[in-house]
Amino acid sequence: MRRAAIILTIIAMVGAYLFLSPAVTRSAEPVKIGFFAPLSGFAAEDGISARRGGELALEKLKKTFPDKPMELVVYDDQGDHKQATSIVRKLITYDKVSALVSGSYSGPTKVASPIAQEFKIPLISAYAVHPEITKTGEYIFRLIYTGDVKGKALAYYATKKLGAKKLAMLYWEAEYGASIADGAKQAAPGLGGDIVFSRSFSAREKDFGPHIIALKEAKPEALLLISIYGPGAAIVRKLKELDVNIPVVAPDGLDASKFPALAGPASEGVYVVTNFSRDDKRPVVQSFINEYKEKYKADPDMVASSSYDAVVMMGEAIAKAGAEPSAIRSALAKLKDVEGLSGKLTFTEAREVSFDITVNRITGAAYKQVDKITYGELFK
Amino acid sequence: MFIQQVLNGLIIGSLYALIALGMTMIYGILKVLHFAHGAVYMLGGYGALLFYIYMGVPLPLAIAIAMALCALLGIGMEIIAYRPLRLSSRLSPLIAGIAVYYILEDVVRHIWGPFARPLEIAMKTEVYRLGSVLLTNVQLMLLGLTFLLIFLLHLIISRTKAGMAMQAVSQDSDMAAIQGVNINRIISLNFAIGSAMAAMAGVLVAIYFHEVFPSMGEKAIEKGFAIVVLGGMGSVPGSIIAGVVLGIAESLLIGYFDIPLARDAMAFILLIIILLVRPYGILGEQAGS
Repeated sequence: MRRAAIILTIIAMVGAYLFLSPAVTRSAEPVKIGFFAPLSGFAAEDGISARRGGELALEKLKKTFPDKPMELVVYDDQGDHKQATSIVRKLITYDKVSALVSGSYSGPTKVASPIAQEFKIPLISAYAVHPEITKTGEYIFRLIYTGDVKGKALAYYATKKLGAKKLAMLYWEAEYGASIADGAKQAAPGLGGDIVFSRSFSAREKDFGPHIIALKEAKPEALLLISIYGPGAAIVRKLKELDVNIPVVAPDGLDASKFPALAGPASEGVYVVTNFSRDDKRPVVQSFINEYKEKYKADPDMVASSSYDAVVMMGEAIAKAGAEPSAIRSALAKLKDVEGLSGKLTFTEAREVSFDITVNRITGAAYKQVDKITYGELFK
Repeated sequence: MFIQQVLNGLIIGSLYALIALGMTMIYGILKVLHFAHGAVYMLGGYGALLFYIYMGVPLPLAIAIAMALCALLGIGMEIIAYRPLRLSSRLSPLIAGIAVYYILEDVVRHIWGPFARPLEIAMKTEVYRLGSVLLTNVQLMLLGLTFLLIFLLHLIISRTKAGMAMQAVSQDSDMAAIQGVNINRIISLNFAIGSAMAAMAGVLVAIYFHEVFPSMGEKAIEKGFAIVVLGGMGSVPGSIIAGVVLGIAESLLIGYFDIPLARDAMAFILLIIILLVRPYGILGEQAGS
C-alpha cells in the first residue's frame, strides 16, 4: 500500500513536470543560429576571427532585443568540404537551428548551401565569394561581393587607378582564388589591361621562388595577388627578395590581421580591395573596432566584420519573424538599410549586396583607406 | 632566369636532403621508414622559436640546444616505440612511428595552437647581385650550414670508430654483433645524429619560410620518403643527390611549365620515372649484389 502510494506520487510528479515544463521553457527558449567556420587547420586564424565577429554581433543583438533571446551554435569545419557537409546536417537535424550563418570559405559554404536549401533553413554567407553559392536557391543570402565582381574591381583598380597595362596574376587554386581570377581575366581586356602572366598555387606551397622568378621574366606592371594570408605573406616576402618592385593589388583575402604580422615589412604598400574600412567614422564601425580590441586583444579584420554583419542581419530578421525558418527568410529579404560594418545593408533581388568597395593600403603594418570604388562606377 | 631557378632549387633541395638524411640512416640500420622523423623536424623548428624568440637565447646557441634536445628525443623514441618491436614484422614499427608522429604533432597543437607562428631572425635580409642572379645572405647561410653538416656527417661515418660500426651494423647487424659491436648503442647513436639533423633542418626551414606550424612535418615526411627511395634505400650519398635533384627538378618544372598539378606530386612523378630507369634508386644496389 505504502509502496503504491510512493509510486503514484512519483508518477504524478513526473507527469506534472512533463505537463508543465514545455510551457515554462518555451518562452525562454532562445532561437538558435547555427554558425560554422574553420577554427582549426590551415585557415584557423580566419575562422577564429569569424567566430569573434559573430560573438560580438550576438552581444549586440542581446542588447538591442532583450526580449528576443538568440544563441549561436558554433562548429569547426576546418575549412574542409566534407566536414562542412556533416556539420550543417548536424546543425539542422540535431541542434534544430532556425537559421545558418557561414563564417567559412567558399568551398565549405558551397557544399553547405544545397543542404540548407533542401531543409529550407535560411543561410547567410558572411564572406564566401564563389558565384554559385547564392544561385543554389532562395534561402541562400550573401553579404560580400561575388568573386567575379571582386576580380573586376581588382583589374579596375590596377588599370584605371594605378595605370598598369601589363598585369600578372597569382591566385589560390581553391574556389575563392579561382572565381576572383576568372572575374579579373574576363574584365581585364575591357579595361585596357593585358594579363601577361597567370599562375595558380596550392595553400600547402611554401616556396614561391619558381613562380616569382618566372613572373619577373614576364615584366608585368602590377600583380593581382589573389590569396589568403598565409601564402600571401610568403609571396610578398619573396617578391622583395627577388627585387620585384611592382604594385600589388589583393582582394580581401589579405584583409587579415595575420597578414602584416606574417609578412613583416614586405607587406608595406600592398593595396587591399575589401569591404571593411577601419577609417569609417560611423559609430557602428568605431565601437565594433574598440569592443573587438578590448575583448580579444587583437585587431579586427574583414572576416570578423563580415561575420558580424551576417549575424546582425540574421538577428534582425529573427527579431521580426521569430523562430520559423520560412518567416525568417521572408524577413531577411525585406530588411532595408540595416546599419552594418560594410555599409547600409539591403539584399538585392539576387540576395547579394551592393555597397561601396573600400581600397585599403598597408602602411606601417596597418590598413589605411586610400580609395573607394562605388558599385555604379564599376558597372557603368 | 635558368640559373636563378637552379639556385632556388639547390637551396630547397639541400634542405630536403638534410631532412631525408636521418631517415636514410635509420632505414639503413633498422630497415624501418621512420615516420616520427617529421615530428622531430617540427619540434626542432619550435625549439628554436622557444629558445630564440621567447627566451632570448642567441640563435646559434638556440639551434644547438634544439638539436641536442631532439637528439635525446630521437633516442627516446627508438627505445619506447621501436626497440620493443625489433623482432616483430616490419609493419609494426612503421605503425608505431606513425602513432608517435601524430601524438607529438597534437601535443604541439595543443600547447602552441594550430596556427603558424612567425619566426623572424634578427639578421637583416640583404640581397647580393651576381650579374642578373640574386642571392640573399639568409640563403647563403642556409646553403653553408647544410653542406657543413653534411660534410661533418660524412667525416663521422667514414673516419670515426662509431661511424665504422654504424656501417657494419647497416651491412649485417648479426655479424657486427658477433664482432663485438654494441648494437643498441649504435642504433641510439644513429637516432641521435639523424634527429639532430632533422632538428637543424626544421630550424633552417623555419628561418627560410619565417614560420613554424604543427603540421609542418607532414610534407617533410612525404618528401623524405620519396628521397629515401630515390636515393636507394639507405644510401647516404644517394639521399643527398636525390634531395638536390628533387629540389632543382621541382623548381625548373614549376618555373618553366605551368603544370596544373600540385607541386608535391612532382616528387612522386620523379620517383616513378627514376625507378623505371633505375629500379634500386640512384645509388642503390640490388639486394645480394
